[in-house]
Amino acid sequence: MQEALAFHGVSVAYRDELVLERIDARIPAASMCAIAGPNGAGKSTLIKAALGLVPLAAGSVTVLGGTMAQRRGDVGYVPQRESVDWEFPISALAVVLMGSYGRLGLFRQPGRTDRAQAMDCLEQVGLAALAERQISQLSGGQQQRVFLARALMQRARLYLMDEPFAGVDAVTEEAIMNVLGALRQRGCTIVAVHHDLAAVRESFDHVLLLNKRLVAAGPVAAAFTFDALQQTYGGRAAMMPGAASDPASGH
Amino acid sequence: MAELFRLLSLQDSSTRVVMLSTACLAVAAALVGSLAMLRRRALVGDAVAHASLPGICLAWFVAGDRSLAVLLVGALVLGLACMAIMALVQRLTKAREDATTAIAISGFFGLGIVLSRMIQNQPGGNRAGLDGFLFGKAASAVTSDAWLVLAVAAIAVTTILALRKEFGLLCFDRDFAAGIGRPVHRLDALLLVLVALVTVAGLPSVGVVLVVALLVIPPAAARCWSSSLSTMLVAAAAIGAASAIIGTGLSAVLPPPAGASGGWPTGPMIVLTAAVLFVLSLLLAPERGVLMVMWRWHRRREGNPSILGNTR
Repeated sequence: MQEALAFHGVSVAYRDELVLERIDARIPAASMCAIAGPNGAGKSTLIKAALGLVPLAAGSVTVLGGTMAQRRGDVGYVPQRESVDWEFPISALAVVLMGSYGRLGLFRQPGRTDRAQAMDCLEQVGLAALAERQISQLSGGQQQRVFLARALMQRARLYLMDEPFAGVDAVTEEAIMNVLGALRQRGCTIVAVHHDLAAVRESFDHVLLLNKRLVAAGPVAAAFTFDALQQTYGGRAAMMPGAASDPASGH
Repeated sequence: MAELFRLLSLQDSSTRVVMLSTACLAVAAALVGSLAMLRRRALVGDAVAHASLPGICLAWFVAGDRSLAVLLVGALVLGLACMAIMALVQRLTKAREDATTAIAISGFFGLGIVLSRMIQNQPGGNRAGLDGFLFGKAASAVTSDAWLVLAVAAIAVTTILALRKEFGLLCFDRDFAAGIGRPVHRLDALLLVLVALVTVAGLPSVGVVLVVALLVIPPAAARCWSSSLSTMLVAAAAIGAASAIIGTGLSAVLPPPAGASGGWPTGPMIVLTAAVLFVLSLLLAPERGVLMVMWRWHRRREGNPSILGNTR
């Protein structure tokens, strides 16, 4: 099977503290893979390591069969919503246009076709009517969809998303899921940090369970077990519904 | 009256030089300051300004030639050194950024005051020369100084305009910029160098203590009026230029304070004008202005119930 993303013994340290330890994982192409784990498990760091945003203490990452530097134009990124200042003076459309910057280079400005494409991406996430709205006036779910539209604008083959469902309501979650499903239909790979374990089980086909080390990885049916969840979350997983072979659901 | 006419028609060559150079400087500072503010680096300019005082003194000791350009190179070197030290401390320790900045500002300024006292006791260390850098003396600018300021302003404005898309992305979402392969470290460094350049260029006219105002006040005022980065840059440049022109004009036209030897100080007049424009912006801006917000609130309370609860 062709791999979209592979981690080979990846370790990452912040100052002197190891936050990721020898991660070995392969994510097949055209899959939807969730990264789950408790707070501080290194989920965001794993995404950033794949993008080359944090230095690797050890190991390497293969992206679409090459290095990140070679494949950058084929990778879309949705950062955490809290990572930016939503009071920034900018419209929703202008944020989406940033998805074209990678193609444009340092000095060229986006043109009319780029604008039309950006409108189309906003349309796909159901925000075309709010294109000229200041981002500070959007709801949390709308802000999250603007970020998704910007990633669509990147026209990537692999999408790395850091908590694209954080703080969104059920309707927005479904809208985002539909967009992700359509992307996968086109053969794109989606890797998303996700907190809702029930949703992971329902909507994703692959999963990485992470707690500084890789606890389990693989198809949801095989890897998403009660034991693995308990190892990942340290016993608190008993409260989590939807785990495969969950003893609580058996009765 | 004739004086006023002479000034407004820019016939007086020294006022014309001062006005032109401070206006260009204010435009450059407003553009650079807008990006620095959005990148949350607004106070870096203040640290650079205060670090430049010991830089000027060291240049005075080291160089035989004590022309303005040489002194300003000393200011720039120490200003950049100060920024490098602050960045290093940030990276290696868990010190808070505001604390680091405050320590850098006061530490370098203390060093500068001590060094300038040593210079005063040297033969030829005339007091007035260094005092001019503390509070600025725009009114006594000569044409050669103006060329220096114009060159720096041209470099800063050109760089910002050429890279405005990249700087905007850097300020809004640094992680995304890095994700698409932008050299974010180098862009950050370039922005800081521009801050240092315009700060140092502003020292002779506005002075160590007040130069940060040119970097911070026009962008803060412009933010009230703008809904995009481009409009913010344009508005900040306009407010900066207006402050410089009005401030310089006022200090030249107003009758000098009774009993004082000189006229009104130009640098502080520029800063005061900018501050007034900032307060007006806070009050009058159409979307975010205090008066508009109060009016909308009032109308919502007085008006029909259908508007109640319909905040968006």
